[in-house]
Amino acid sequence: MSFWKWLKISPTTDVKAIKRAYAAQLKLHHPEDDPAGYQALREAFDAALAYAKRKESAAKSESEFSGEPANGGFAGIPAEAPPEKGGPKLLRVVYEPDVHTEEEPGKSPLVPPVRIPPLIPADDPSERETTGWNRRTFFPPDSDQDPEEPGGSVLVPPPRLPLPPLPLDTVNEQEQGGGLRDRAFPEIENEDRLPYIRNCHTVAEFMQRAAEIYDYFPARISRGEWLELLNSDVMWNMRFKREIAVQLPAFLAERRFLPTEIWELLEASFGLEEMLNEGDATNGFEPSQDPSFTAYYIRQLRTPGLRYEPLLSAEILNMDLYLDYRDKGQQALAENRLETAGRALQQAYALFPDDPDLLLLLGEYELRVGEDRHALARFERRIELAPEESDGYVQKARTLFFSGRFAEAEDICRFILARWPGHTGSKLLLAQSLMHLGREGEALHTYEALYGQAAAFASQPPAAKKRPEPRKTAWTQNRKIRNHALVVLVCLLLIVGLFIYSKSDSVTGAPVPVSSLHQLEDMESGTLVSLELTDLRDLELGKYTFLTLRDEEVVAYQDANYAFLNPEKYGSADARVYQANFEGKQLAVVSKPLLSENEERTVKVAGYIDTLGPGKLRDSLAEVLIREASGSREYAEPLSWGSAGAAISGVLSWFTAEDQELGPDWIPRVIEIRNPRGADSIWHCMMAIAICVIIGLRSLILGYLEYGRSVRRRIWF
Amino acid sequence: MAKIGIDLGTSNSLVAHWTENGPVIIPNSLGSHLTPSVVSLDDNDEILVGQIAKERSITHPHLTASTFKRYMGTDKQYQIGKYSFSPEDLSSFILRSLKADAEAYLNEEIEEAVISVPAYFNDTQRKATLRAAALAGLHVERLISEPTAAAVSYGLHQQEADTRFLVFDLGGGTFDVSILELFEGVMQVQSIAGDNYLGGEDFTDILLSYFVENQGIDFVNLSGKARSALFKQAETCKIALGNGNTGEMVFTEGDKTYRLTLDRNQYEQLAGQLLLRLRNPIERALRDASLAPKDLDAVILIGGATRMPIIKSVVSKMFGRLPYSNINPDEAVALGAAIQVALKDRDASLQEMILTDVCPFTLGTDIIKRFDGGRIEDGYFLPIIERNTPIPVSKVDRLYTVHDNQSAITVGIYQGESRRVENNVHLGDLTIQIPMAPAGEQSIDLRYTYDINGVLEVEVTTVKTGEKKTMIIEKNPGQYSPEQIQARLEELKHLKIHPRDRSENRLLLARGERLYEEALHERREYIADLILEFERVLASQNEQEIKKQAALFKQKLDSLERWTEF
Repeated sequence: MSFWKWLKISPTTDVKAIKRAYAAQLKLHHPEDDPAGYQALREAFDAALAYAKRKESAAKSESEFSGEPANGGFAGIPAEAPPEKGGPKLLRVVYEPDVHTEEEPGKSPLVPPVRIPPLIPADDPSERETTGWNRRTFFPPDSDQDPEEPGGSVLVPPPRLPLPPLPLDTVNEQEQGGGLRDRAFPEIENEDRLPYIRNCHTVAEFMQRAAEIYDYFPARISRGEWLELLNSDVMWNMRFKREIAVQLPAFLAERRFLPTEIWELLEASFGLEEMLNEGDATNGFEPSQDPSFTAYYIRQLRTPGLRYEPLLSAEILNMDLYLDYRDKGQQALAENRLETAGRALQQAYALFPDDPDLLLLLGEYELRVGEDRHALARFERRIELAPEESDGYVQKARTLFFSGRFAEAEDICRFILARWPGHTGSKLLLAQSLMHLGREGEALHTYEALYGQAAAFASQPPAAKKRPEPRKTAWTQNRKIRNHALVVLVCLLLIVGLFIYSKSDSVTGAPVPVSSLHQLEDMESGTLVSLELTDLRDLELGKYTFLTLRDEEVVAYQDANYAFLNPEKYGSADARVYQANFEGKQLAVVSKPLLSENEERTVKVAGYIDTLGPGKLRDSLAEVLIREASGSREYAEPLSWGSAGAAISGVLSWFTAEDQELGPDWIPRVIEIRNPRGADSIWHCMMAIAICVIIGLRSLILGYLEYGRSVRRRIWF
Repeated sequence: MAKIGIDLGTSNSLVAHWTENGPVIIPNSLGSHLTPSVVSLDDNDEILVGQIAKERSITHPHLTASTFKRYMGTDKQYQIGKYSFSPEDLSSFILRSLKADAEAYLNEEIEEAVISVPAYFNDTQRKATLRAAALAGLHVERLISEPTAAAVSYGLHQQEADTRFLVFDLGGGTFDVSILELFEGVMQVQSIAGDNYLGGEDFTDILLSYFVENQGIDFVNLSGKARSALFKQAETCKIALGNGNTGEMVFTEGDKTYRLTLDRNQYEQLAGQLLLRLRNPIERALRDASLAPKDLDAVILIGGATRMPIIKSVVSKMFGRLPYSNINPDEAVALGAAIQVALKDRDASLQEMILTDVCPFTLGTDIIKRFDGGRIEDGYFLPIIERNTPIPVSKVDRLYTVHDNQSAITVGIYQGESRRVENNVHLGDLTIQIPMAPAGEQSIDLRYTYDINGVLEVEVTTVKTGEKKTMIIEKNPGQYSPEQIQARLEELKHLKIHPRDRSENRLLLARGERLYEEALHERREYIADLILEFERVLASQNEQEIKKQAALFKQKLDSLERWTEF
């Protein structure tokens, strides 16, 4: 407790002594001469006072338990009883709320009883007809000094400090017919008192009255009603007022639709903004847990609100619902969340279509999504409802402008400027319209009128004029543009798809099932067939061999996707189907395993069929075979066949019985895979592609135009 | 050498000095105690100050500036004729005029003064006041806050008693609440609060707005003259409502005459919203002093606007006692300032009273808060000196780096009460180099010192290296160096000030012109004749004649004035 050292006294709860000590030390550490010393001394002083107060209240609470007042007489008299010197009597009687003065006067020897001063008669002429300012001074009745001359010397001791404090905590006492207060304030007569009839005296009454006012719509928007409430008696008692302030946020969170001026009144009275943000430590009020209400409250204070008066005459069943939609709509529109805005505003409109502010909002929304006709209707209705306000006309002019109706836009602009000559927005719009109408000279004049700088504008295109910050309507939100974009996308997809289709090699479509190779004879070349083979003998190939050849450019590789039948059925060797490329053609070759997995080796093929027709191929094939047959190995064992894989999608060509002239053993089995697209289908593809291109291009152009319009829209307001 | 105490008010200014019989107000060249805080430019480019300028605010509003105290410390420029003045320049003209009055009265040179400022004036505004004084050639060692000055002028006699009182100061433009305690020769300010934008003028403004709206006057398109005339009507009406039960406002534009009569009840309803605003600063001051209204012994009213009966009744309602307004509410502050001069000088005739004041705003810096889970968020306000701390005071706090390898720390200096710095006032920045290190290992000591004038000095020390950096907060650093003040002083010296000795006659002329403006038709001709007559006599340079004519002229103007009030 080093602070006692600074004060140079021993620890005490005697506040007077502490103050005396501090005063004495202050002379040694004058704030002007010794700032650091003063700071330390002052801190010591404050600490000592706090100590004394703590000890005092601890003592008090003890004595309360024991039922005896700590100081005899009034409970709650602080340690510093008023001084009993011959000089001024200071009546610092402290009342607790449940102590009535009338009951215990003069009980304590320390404190003189409350003196109620005699009245100054209400119609004392000297109080009424003073003319100059300086004559209106106040004197407690027991003063026998003369009224001072204005500006007189200060050394004449002023009248003693006036009347005793009133027990304002017991606000209820006033209900007993005026009471002390009226009598002690002679010149604050009935006519001076604020003429508020419904006077609330308790916090509960206040909150109840507030709810009443809110629930009755005409009262809710009446400034006078709220002002009366905020000036009622309970509000002038600080403790009660704080209590109300603590309860208000919860109250207002449920009743949040008030005109801006009422919010301002409440803020002026309670300072809720600071309280919500910072909390109120002394009242145990935490910074608001409900940030959405805090944000809402601040928004009500900062931004100009929508009007409530036009709703007075509306027959809306659920007013708060309407207001909620309207408010949500406004906020969403401000944040450009057009979906939400549209929904909310339309719902509000369904409830009440004649609210001028709502019409403005709804019209603005419709303008942004490109529904010009609807927007125009709204603004015209707005003009009907509020013909003396410029907003409706301005918006109408804008709508006409964006719809391309420049002449009409011009007319309205001129009308606006005739009535509201200072409206620069309309002037600008007028100038723009004139430009679009080709009347550049007039447009130039208008610009000059706007800015008074002719030269600068002669060379500048209109778009470069000074503009307020553009509001961005994302092009994705404009319905028209969206539709066009969709079409373009679809067309692109189609084009690509068709293209791929026409060029594709892959075989789509169901293959025609055949049961034997002989059926192929009757089929067109290029037909896709499927032959389910369970047995090589289905091929009716007879014995066949396959030759592997060396040193050719063909690369064969094993296709491992094929499954195999039970090898016992068909012999020991597993057949494989090999894919090969030969002279630019893709082939499938059936043979027994020639290569191990993933091995590559060049093989010479035995032959192939090409588009030139089987005959020619046969010849070359025959040649090859014969050539080979003479000097190469032969595989005498029958090849077994893979199973499911043998449902080969491919074109099988084989040699007809004519070929057998070449010998029974040489029949190769070559399977060709061929591009199946016929010329016809290619032609069809081309047509389809062309159509898609045309449609796509059209949508592209339209979409771009629409985008351009919305960009211009963006630039306004 | 004598020293003076000056009350530089929004609407009126006064100057006082200490005599062994107590403080005395020094009258100006026109013999009155109050000098209106108005500056005007005469047709011959002379600067006019005071009542003359106030008259001219009606006749030549574009050449006149008033209520510039509200803009002290801001960049606002007043365009008066061909000159452009800042609020400090204008205040310096007032101060210069008061200085001249004091010198004439005391017959000696005055170089030093104590000037009063609203308790709620922030650092920038106080500096601006000091600059204005420098420009007027006055050295100001001490700025005293107005409510303290008023308390001092009351408290002089209550030295034995142990009193707690609240000073309720509603001036032309500002509202200050101060709670003081007086004991054992110590006058201690416990707490202060206020509203810098609430004053008597606002009460006039609501009458004006009501008149304009109710009668449908197109205010926006009115000329400056018409607006001044309207304002004057509102002011007269306000005074009338204070004295009696009704007030009236009349306005003529072209051939249309607008008239509105109000009674007191209506006025109170109109003023209701302003009255609500009075509550908050009072509550805050009481809260900060940990007092309830019942703990106060007295409530003192100062400031002209407290003459309004509605203010008195509001005060009575809030405190349950009659307020105390013995000393002329307009003069209390100047008298207190003069007392303060004497106290500072430890004048022998004055029993020693030590005055301690508090700072009105919380001062701190911006910090980054680290939450559980490692999240960090910046923009929080760390108070270093809380509001209502006794001054002079010096407090230091240690701050640590947040990021690794920071090479410098920039300390933002903020003033305000919010937890978030974005809601507080940014006074300046101070950057200091620190050795690079991982986060949290380097620290700086940040010391805020509030001197007895309420001027803030910030000192930053790098703990490791001991390097220090100091800054005295200036809103526009470098703009008001001593050299620049000197330069501006030289500039202003070249301006012609209307000579003191001719101010009486000048006032008569200005008054005449004003009455001319306000009058209609036939009476105008009459006034014009009077003015011409007087000018003719003035031109004659005959002292005797001038005096006689001046008296006559004044008499006639007085009767005219009374007439126009009907």
